[in-house]
Amino acid sequence: MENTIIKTPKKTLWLRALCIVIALAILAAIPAVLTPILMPKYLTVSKEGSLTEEYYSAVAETNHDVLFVGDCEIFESFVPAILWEEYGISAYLRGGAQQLVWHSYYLLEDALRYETPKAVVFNVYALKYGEPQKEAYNRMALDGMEWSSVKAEAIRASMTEEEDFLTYLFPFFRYHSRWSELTTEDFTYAWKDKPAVSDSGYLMQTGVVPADTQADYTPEQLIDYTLPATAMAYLDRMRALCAEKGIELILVKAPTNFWRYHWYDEWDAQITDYAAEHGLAYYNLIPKAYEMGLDMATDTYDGGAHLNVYGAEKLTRYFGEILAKDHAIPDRRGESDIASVWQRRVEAYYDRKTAMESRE
Amino acid sequence: MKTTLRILSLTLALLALTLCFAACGNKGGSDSKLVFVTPNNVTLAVGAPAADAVTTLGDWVSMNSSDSCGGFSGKDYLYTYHGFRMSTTPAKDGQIICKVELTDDSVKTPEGLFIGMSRADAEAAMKSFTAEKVGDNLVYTSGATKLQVVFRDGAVTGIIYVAA
Repeated sequence: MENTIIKTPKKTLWLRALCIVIALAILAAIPAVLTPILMPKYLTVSKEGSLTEEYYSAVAETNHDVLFVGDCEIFESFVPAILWEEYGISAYLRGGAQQLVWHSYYLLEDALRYETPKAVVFNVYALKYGEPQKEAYNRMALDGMEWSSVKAEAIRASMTEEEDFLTYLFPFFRYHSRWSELTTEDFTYAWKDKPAVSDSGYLMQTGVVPADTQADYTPEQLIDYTLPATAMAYLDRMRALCAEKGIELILVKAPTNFWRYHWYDEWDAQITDYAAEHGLAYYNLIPKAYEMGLDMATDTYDGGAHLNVYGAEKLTRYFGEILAKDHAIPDRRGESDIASVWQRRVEAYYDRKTAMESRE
Repeated sequence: MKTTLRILSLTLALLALTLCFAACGNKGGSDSKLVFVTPNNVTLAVGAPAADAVTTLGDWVSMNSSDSCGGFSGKDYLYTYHGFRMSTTPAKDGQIICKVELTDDSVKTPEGLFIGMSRADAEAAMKSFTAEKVGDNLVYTSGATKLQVVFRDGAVTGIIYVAA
């Protein structure tokens, strides 16, 4: 039998190689093109997911003397526009929905790449959590971070067991299944800047849903009231980071205390001791609610879990005085560069408030 | 040409495979021996659907609800009944029971635990389960449920079913 060897012409080999290159390019290009469309925009649903990324354009405009970090009790409670208007304090909130202490730590470390504030205010409620809780909250806190080694560390510290680092690096692999949920918003803002949902990190709520003051609620018993060691270790890291940069760390507990988000006396005692041991100021504002004029019949939008804008303004006026008097945060209203930035921000805040009130 | 088509087909197949890949996972259900049975014989298991239980249990003493942080759809509920309260949370297919807490001595667990009983009696009642000590308290685990028993001054002050 005669063997026949058929030689592949050189031209065909080149053509095949070209096809492979084109195929690989398509494989790489499709996710690159689709990812901006598929990524959640967090404009009408879960606006909290936009908060992390909004910081970068704000810090490019001006620096801040106070950075607030923490969970929803930060971004629903403190109003930077009021701090400026009443006390000339330049402040920004780096808060997020169920932002856990490691999220806050890394968002602070990330912010310190751009600016060095005089004080950092940390809301202590999230210290009750010692483990990652839910992927959706990780996404809202982390997807909007600019890429750096800090973001990489933040992801590693935050991931639940089901998550994969690669899906943060290539979000297409996480969000491809959103194709059936896409709305006009996803296409409109795929490659275009989104409108800000917050005012310097403050997420406004103008609704009023009174708290049920007649409800007789006894908080559930806990098996262990010790705040988790993992959480306290991140508080240690936050304290060390602030000390290294010459920043004062101030601890605060927002004045709300709700059946679902209860702040136990046992936790309060631990934070009080921690603050005393390390020479930090700690303000538990729950017992100060009456003094600052909060009325949970009018100052909450969800039955008492969070403050609405009217409650947040009262709290901010109260706490701004503490920042100015007891922590010597400077009044910068006489500095024209920063004042012009804040004039725009304050106007935007009141424009939003008027617009939202007219829709209520 | 055939080769080109083959490569392009492979590319599209890989893409389709990627699109079909789903990253969802949801723990749930109740394979636990640790369940609470109410005086009107409703079995409450952590991780089980809540809708039927709420209907069967009938009138509650009070009910609180709260939106999820982050604007996710669905609310958390806390139903208070005589002797116990039940928390529910939204899951993939509706509300599930996420916590049951006994609040007074008018109800007992199937093993005989009740608020106010002595530590020795509580430990004896739970002898067929392995206990883990958390401070002065005891935690029993079965399947996806933990039963937390809180003691103060030698007596049971808390009995709470939570997800393991």
